[in-house]
Amino acid sequence: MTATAQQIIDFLQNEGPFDELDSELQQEIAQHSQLIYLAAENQKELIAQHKDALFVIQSGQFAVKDCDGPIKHLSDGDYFGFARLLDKVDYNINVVVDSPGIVLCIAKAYFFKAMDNPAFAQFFTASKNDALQNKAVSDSNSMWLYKPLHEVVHHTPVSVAPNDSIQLAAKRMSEQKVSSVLVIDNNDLLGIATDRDLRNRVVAVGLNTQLPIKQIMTENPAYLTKNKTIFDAICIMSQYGINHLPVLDAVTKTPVGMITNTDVSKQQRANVLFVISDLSKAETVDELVSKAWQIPQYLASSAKRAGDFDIAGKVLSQATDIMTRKLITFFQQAHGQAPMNYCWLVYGSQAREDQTMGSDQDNALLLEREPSQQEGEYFEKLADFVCVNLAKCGIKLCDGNIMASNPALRLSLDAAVKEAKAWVKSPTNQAILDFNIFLDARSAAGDTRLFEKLQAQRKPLLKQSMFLAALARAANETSVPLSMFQKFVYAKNADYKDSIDLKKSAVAIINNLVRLYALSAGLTMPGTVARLKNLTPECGLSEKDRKNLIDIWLFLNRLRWRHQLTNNVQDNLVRVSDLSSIEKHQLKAAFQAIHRAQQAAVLKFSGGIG
Amino acid sequence: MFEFIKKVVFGQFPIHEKFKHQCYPQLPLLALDLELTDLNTDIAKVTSIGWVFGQNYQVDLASAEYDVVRASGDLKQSPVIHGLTAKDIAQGCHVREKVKLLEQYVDSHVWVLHNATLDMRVLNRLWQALSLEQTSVTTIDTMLLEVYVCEKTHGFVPSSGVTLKSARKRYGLSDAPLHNALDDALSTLTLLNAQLYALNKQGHMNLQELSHTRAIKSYKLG
Repeated sequence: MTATAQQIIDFLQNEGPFDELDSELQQEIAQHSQLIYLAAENQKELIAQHKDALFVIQSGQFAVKDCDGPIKHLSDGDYFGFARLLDKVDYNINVVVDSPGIVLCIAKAYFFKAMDNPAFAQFFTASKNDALQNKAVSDSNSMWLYKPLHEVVHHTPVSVAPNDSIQLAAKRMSEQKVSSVLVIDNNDLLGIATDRDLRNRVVAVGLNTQLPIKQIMTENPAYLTKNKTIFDAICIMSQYGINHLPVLDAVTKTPVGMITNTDVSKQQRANVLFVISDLSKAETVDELVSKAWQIPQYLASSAKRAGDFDIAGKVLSQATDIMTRKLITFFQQAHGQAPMNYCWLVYGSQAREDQTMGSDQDNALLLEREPSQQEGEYFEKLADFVCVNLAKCGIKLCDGNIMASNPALRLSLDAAVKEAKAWVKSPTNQAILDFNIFLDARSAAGDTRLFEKLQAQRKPLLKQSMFLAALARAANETSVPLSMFQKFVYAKNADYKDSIDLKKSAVAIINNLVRLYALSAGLTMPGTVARLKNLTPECGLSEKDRKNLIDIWLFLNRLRWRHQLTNNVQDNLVRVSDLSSIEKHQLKAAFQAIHRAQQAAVLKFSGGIG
Repeated sequence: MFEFIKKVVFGQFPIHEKFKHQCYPQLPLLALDLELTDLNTDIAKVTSIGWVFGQNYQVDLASAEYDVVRASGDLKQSPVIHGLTAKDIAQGCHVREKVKLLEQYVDSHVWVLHNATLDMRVLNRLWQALSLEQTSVTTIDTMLLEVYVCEKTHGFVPSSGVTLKSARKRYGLSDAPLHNALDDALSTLTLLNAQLYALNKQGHMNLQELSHTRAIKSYKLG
């Protein structure tokens, strides 16, 4: 009998987006496709025979031009020919075979059948538009609000039968220390009786407490199924002005628990914003340290969805700002007011608000004027105190000594401007490496006006074309970890051989590139996403490119966060084997886009001299 | 006379005349694999059989055939290795149906097998047992072809051997599920494409010219 080869099914089940298709369609595709051995000598003939197919590479390496876009270097797991099918344009498919191999040709009819699957369709439509597939970027959520109810409701509901007496119901509520009771018959929810009902409908009117509870219960109460979120619960409670909401099983509608106003506020208290505001309430360094350590634990237990990871960096940066301000206050309580105006500056990831668990502290002090020896000693002690205690709070000391405790980073405003002039005058590669971090800066405490003055004086200097050209060349020094044939290049000496340093090999490159465009446009905000949102088309990046870079940046950061939280590590060595099939494709697409952005920046800012 | 002696001594027949002068891309191919209960071909029973057709570096997956064969007696460990259950085997088709089906392709296709001797001996026994008309079939043996390639390249057969898996690895072909007759047949055919491309990039050599590899043989059936 006709049959399907298991190896083709296995291939489809492991390759995104085919893994999204139901097994019946996978089976059909596996049964009605052709396998070709594509080599230099036969490629013209074979491609012509299958020109209306989607080509999926199983082995081999090919340089392919299949639409108006650039030549793509493809290898196993990559696709070509879809632009022709989607655009319905008779594009020529030109293939240069670098290494012959097996290609699966999926007939047009089956490709379009698969396009009925939204995830499959989105993958190929996005691939065609050369954009990263990122369905959830726009829905960044506040973590606690979107927790499903089954994660919150842990106890079976306190219940009585409809003919049980009012007194029995009250007794059960009292024993169980709850303020409401469900009235259940044969696992069906009939009603609810609350403390308020007992007060208003029984005590106030002198009703006989031996009457059945069904006489005073609220019939057919509002409820939610356990797959709904806390946010849904808040909406229903506000809409009906109630404090108790039964939670039912989504399928059987059997009551599984109760959510109350108190539960909601408990969740709210566990919300990271409350954890952060708790930091502000610390009275001593020890208290601050113990509260600070709750933040990583909170993130590890609560950040589960993509949107959570998007705000995690911001949360951590804001928490670090608060810790800094608290520590400065503690120091001043012991040593008195500062002898002059100062500003505590933060750099790098804290400035950009994309800190991760592994981020170390990068900070400096900007002083109103040159300090006297005594004034200098005050700031030295302040800096030491803050840096050492930030480390106790979990924000590591900086290996590169980019900290206010380093005397070279406690400059007066004039000295800082002079330093910026020196950078611009001789932007050697080493110098750029050294001061790149100072170009993403933010004021976290003290007199913000000092920092604004510094920014205003640095702005024209940092826009100079020679300086920008040097920055562009430096941004092009690091390559994305993809080989010529789009295979991942793994980090050397990592514990896991399939690791990629997403910070060094991708996020940092985007940060460098976006900083370049931002400086050129005179933008002073430090965040990469904020910079991209504030750039205009005149900067040289189209709206589509900027949007795509935001998506890529968020995607990469999600992967870093997920890696750190799920593997309980602080590095950025994301393991490719931890990624889903689609994420691997997305990551490759992200790297390719970063590479193109690097080339474009070199062309724009340094006349193509990389 | 010489051909006769060769047939008697080696049990081999000449390459089918109509294929002799056809270049590789023109040859109609049938890749075949039998899963057996024993390596001893005198007693081995067929537990499953799979084949797929190809030509000109292409494999038509719609042509794939696979059947579990009804078998009785001591099956040893083989069905376990091939992932078959006793129920599969009890519900399988009769080997006669499959062999009769294969008979149609004796003259029309060159059969491709990995270690042809083993499967062809079993088929020969079945041919006789089923009293089918005596015939011969032209085969390409990917295992012998790999031996030729290894000896030519390294002067010896590497310790990794010439199993289907190790041979595929040499051409950068992915691992496939082994010990399933259809998957092995498909893997053999895609391996042959890679082998013959490496040997004969332009595809100009005909089957007779390829016979110096000792991988092209005809086997008597019946």
